[in-house]
Amino acid sequence: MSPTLIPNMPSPHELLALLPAMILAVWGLVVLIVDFGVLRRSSSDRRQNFLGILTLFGVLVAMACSVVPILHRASPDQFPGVLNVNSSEPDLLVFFGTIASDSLTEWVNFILLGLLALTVGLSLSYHFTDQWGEYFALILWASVGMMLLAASEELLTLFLTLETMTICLYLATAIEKDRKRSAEGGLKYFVYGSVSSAMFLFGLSLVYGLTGSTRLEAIQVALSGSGTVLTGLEGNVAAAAAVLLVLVGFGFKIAAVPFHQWAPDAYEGAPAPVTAWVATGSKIASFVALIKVLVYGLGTWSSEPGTVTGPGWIGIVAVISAVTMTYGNFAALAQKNFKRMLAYSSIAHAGYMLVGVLAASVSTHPNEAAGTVLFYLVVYSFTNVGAFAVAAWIVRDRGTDEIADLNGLGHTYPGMAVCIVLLMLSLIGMPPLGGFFAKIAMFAEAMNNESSRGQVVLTWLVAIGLFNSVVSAFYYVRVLKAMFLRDVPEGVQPLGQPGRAISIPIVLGTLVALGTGIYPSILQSNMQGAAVHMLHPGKLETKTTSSSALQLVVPAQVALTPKS
Amino acid sequence: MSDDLLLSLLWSVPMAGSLLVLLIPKQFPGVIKWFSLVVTILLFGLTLVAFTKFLSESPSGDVPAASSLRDRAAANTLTGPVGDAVTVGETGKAVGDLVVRHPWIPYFNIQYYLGLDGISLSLVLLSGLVCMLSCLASFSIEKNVKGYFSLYLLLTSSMMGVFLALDMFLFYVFFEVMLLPMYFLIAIWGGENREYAAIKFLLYTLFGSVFILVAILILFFWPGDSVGSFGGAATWTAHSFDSIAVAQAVSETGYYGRFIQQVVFLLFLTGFLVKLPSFPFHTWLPDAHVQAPTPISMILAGVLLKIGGYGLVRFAWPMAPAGAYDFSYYVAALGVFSILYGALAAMAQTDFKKLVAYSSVSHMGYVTLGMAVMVIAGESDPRYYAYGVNGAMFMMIAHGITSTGMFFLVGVIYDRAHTRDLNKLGGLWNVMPIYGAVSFLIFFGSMGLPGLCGFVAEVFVILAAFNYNPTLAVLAAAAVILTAGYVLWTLQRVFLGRSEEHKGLPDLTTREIIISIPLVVLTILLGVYPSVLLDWMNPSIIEGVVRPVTTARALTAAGKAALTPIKTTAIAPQTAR
Repeated sequence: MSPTLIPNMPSPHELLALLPAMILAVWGLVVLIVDFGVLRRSSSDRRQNFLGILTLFGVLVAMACSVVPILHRASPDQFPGVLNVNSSEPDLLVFFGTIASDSLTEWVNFILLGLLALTVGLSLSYHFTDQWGEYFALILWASVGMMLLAASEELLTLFLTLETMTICLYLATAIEKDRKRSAEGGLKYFVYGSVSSAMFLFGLSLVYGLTGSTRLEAIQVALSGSGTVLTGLEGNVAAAAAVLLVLVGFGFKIAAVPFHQWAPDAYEGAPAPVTAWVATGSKIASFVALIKVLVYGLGTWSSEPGTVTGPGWIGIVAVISAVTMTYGNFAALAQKNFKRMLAYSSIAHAGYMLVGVLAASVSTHPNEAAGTVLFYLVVYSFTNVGAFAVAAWIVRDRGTDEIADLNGLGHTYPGMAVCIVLLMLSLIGMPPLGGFFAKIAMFAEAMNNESSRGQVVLTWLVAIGLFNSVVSAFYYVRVLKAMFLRDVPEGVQPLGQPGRAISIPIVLGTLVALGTGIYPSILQSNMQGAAVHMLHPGKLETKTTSSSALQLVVPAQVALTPKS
Repeated sequence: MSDDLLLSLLWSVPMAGSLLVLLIPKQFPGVIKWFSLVVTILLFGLTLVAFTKFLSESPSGDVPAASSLRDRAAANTLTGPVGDAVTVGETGKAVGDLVVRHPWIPYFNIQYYLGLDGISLSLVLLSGLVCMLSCLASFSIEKNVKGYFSLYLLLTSSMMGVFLALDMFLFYVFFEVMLLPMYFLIAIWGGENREYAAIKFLLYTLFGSVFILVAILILFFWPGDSVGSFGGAATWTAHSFDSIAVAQAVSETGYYGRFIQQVVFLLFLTGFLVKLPSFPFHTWLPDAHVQAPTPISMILAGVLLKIGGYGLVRFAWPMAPAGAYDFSYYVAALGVFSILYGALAAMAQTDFKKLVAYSSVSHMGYVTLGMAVMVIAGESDPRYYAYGVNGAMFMMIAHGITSTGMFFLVGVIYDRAHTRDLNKLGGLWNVMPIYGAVSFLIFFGSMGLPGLCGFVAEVFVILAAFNYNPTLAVLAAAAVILTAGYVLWTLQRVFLGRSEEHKGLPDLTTREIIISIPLVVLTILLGVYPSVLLDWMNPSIIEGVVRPVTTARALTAAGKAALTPIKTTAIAPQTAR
């Protein structure tokens, strides 16, 4: 593209598409300025409260901006096209095709901002640092990175946003300066992160070398030509290297085995709200980017035609998935520390979600399968933020975060304890909670493919996943056991009132788990609608044909000729 | 009362009760107890309403009462495209047929689909009764009354749901919801080693349920073995959790070939044998029973074990008849082994409750055996297999009544003497004559004394087994001697002889007598006049189990489904991106 063709100014539409992210970016600066200006001489507590509420305000404003396009899409008549909505063009790439502006980004923004609001609220629950201005700014900028990462359609943008996100999170992890654990966690996160980023970048450069473009759509076209051809990776060492290196980068972000080592230490060391944000926000963004790059961009390399196990990234991801969920669950069995247990459990959850990524690639309904991954991410994130709120509660009142600190909670705060029970059950995947339906839907989509060999392999993977859920029951039930079967220990300060900052995430997480479990259809259809754009960015003509629901015959009455 | 309301109330009344109990302040434990009792009495009343409705259907209507659940289900079809406004066809003649169907999660074709036939109704009645009685037995609970009764009612609700659900997904949901209240009820209100027993119960059952879930998913997603090669225009496309429709497709088409049926059968079998329980998955049962409080033991033995058996009757056999046939000998042998093993293990116990627990393992062996004696090959008369299945079902009901009674009686003596050690008990008949009389009757009923309920079940099963394999039948019949051995020895140790130690123990209280009366009456009634149950249960069994299994066997024998190769032509994965 010659320089003369580049317009001087981005169009208003393009700017509006980035509005929530821009608000957050600017608000981070505002928070910093307020901290260093107005609040220079205030006490740490006052700065925490003031800045926290200021941050929350910014987040809510951004959230309001992000919800309008969703409402507009839902009913164009009642919510006329304000902000970035132009209903005639629902599927847009902006900034020279680097950033997507479609219902996927709108939904992801909305969900991320909702989680961010909970995280910021959670940060007000207890005192873990004095650098409040920096802390809130970092959290906000990390969120900017996440939102843009999920929206990016081009490898360089993807890398830059990924780094924006993680560098902010490295710092936020280490922000609790008077605890060595925090610094240790931050350092480990940083060292592993920078090495894997370097490898990721190398992988991306190989992809660029092989395809001649950094745009996902162009990569897809370059690899598959006009039709959709599966070639697999056989004999293609450069491509295999590229895929492996890219997987290293994403494996680190989603904490998949064997790139997970940072997770337990960083999760345990970081202050609870930061952990919550690392475990949920960065996972949502990374998974969306992962699906875009692997399933859409590099889909041609997934496997050879007619097989699932042939050379291609499907086989690699299947192995990573099986190992990740098994390792995560078995390692969590040994944990006594609540946050560390959640860290291993979130590793296991990444393993489950990789099954969903495979499903998006092999299922006969790829969009719907990708939608189930989004669905899972939403349920997982809200329940996990609730769980980390529990961690914040313990650390606030006890200064530790052992599971044993929850002893007797069922007697002192029965309502909260029941909510925590439901959160844990949803994380196990027990019906009728959201975690169960999300898992089953994702696993079901993995089995929903037409290749019989693939079906056998994926059925095994699903079986492994389900048995892992049983294993996970063992350690989640420990939390229930502590709350209900143990008494409050003598001579120890019992947990105090949770307060709004802690109770809201717990209750909201519970409501999400219950709501999505008993009536999943609403969220499911929205996520499936959004997921279309993960696999078809910028292609309007394909949208109408693929977004319809699984067309099944209602087999209530089987018209069979009776066998005489 | 419309079906929608009646069937939904059967599970939602206890569920609502469970929530309402939480609203009663905990200063009034009496109010909580009476409220829960009223809820369970109401529930039992509702099951009786359903029962009368089931019996009173006019046989001349367009959807005859005696007609199979399948016909009634077919009268309640969901029409219209999935995902859009689905209309429910429950109109006109289909009203009052005890089937309810609504869309729940349209994308996966999951329905809110409840229905009753003789098989499930008998168990629903049993659960209604047992839940009411054990609620009454729970009046002695002192610790955290509110939590106990709330969980108790939640457990009741999910058990009802399990028996009502015809959609496999819905069944699974209820099946799992059941675990957690049970876990807490054992873990909080149990004996000394309660936590171990509770987690063991939870993990075993969760582990078993994974097998069930995988089987359900395979049935849902199996792409099919040469559909339509059976002459008829088979429109089956899988992607259904509808247990009735799947069972029909399995038995009448070759869609699910022999191999896949074997896999599905083994998965279902494993899952439900854990729950039943049968050797080698039974080890959770003695622990759970011994540690659980008395009313929970009653529920556990009276209803929860039946869910395993119900799963075999409703899912394992009808959903995978060819697989069941292929493995029938091994399953029957496993059943016989369970009978013998349970009886021998019971004989070795000195803990009264553990003894009763092992006797459950032994009795549930008859259920496995009754299901597995598939005398349906070639020219043989399917009537004998019908005897077997009827015997299995009858055993479940009979065992539900007697074992509830036995656990209750063990609880009574534990409350008074504070020991369950058989060697420390003795001479109780003199001290507690009413207790002794009730115990003798119930234990004899369990032993299979002619004229009492256990006998009928054993005769049916052994009769069917004899036609299947005389050796197994002789072994199973010989187990009666072992059963008599441990029962009589137990009664001797507990009631006969003299003991100064237990003098002055009070006899049954009025509350305890009220609990025993229905159990005693039913033990005798079902033994003397088994038709009171068989008359209306048998047609459903023939329709729901025997006929599909026989049809499938005929199809397999005709060679059509027998060696249908698994589709080998690999279809290129869709890459419509």
